[in-house]
Amino acid sequence: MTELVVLNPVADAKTEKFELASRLTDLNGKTIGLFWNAKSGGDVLLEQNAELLKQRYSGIKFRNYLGAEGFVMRHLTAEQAEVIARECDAVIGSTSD
Amino acid sequence: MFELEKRGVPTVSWTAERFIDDAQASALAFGLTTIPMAMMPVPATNEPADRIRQMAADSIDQVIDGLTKPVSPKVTKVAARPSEVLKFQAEDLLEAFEKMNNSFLDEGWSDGFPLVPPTSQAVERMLSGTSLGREKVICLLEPGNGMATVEKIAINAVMAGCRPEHLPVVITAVQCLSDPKTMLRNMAVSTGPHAPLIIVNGPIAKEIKINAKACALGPGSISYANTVIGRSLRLIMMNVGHCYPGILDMDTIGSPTKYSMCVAENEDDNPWEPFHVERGYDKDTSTVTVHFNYGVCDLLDIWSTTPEGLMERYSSSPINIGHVGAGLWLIGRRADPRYHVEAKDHDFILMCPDHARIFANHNWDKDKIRQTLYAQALAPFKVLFKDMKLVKAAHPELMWLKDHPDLMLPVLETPDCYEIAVVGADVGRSIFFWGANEPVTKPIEGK
Repeated sequence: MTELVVLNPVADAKTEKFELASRLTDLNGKTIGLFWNAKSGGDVLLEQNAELLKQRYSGIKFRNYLGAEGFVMRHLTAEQAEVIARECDAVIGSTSD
Repeated sequence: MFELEKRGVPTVSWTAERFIDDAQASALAFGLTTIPMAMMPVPATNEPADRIRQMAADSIDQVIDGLTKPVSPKVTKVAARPSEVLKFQAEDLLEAFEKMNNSFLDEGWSDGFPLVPPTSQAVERMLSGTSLGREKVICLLEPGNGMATVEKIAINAVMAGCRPEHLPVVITAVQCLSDPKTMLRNMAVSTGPHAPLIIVNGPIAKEIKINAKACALGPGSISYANTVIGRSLRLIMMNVGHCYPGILDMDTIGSPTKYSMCVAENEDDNPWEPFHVERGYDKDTSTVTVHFNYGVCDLLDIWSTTPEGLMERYSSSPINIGHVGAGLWLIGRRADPRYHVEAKDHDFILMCPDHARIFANHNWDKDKIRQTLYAQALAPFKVLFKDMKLVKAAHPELMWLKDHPDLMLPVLETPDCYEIAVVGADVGRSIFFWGANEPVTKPIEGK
């Protein structure tokens, strides 16, 4: 028998950990952001989310957001995230894929 | 979505089934244990509106649950790192070699070709190629934020078949990847076949035998250094950056260009100043440039004897309407708001020396070639881009274009979006790359 000993090629990741936001208790009367990154089809998907949720929750409102920077894919910027955090109770996002 | 969760806003992300592992791996890279998702069976792209609405209806309960119920961490297929040292026992070394390769294939650590075993002795030899300490962290490599220590880079360079003298080029290529201007996360995780082209300039190219002439992009023994340096960068993207196919590399089909692409500029036969000098470095400084590209196009012209003749053919290459960069400027620029960077998309020409001589002998410099390409590589607005919603978001001042669908427009944003380096041998054949954002060049250090 012989033994081949090699070094592991995979690097450890280093990331700053954080927790998910607290979830809402229910969606009645809440303002929901619909964030689209501009990829084809995602806008239709989000519009339909709004239609479906309106049927189930009274007083629910929606605000549309398109990523502030980019091209085929438009990204959320820190400034835009601040605005959305002020304006919405929750957000549904679509990148279309 | 991660930025919103950080700010205390609960979110749900619509995610196609094929992208679930990718989204989960992205959550880990961004510091979350998971990200709430609503699953759809296929991406919404290319689907008719009725089908998209049905997918929304089928999974709307997942949206509601994601916003209102606690979310459990999901199991991910992201490659684990069980220990620093791996042992393979067998009857003989060849069998042990096969076991190691099979194990690395199972783990997802391989590019598919046999790997050279990264024994501690081989890694020590590799590390002798740099003056940098093995524990030095070159960068956190996206998309997985792996710690790119000199040692981890060296291990992957051994696996690729590199020699110690290649290591400084590999390390510098990693530094190029980590430059925010490279927008590596976008390049790595995209559904497009983003492949890094490495261009080496300066004295090191000859010192370590990087081929700049015939068959420089390989294959073959004369391009050995090119092949293994390019290969090492892909292995590093995978094992250090965690950009594994199907998990954080969501390419739809892939590309042979993603295995390895490295050349040196043919400075001997370049009638102009070298590419790196153009980018602000001294001729005697050795540099590495990395530019992500999508596809390769043959640029044959064995007939023209004038720049004008050559330009007729050269100008046809950028007009590939299916390429993401064609007309991209109409809807914005590639951007990464995390680093406050944005870039125009650039195409790259590797020009054969005899074409370069024709231009130079007629007193054409690269700027004149770029200007001419810009002026001649045109396509009608209606085929460059049709979604006025996105044109309006990026350039509301250009909304008048919708009434001029046949107006011919430049394919790329500005003349400087065409990059040119002289590579290869004579006989009238250049290469055109449809490229992504701007190339990044860095000097080689730590030799």
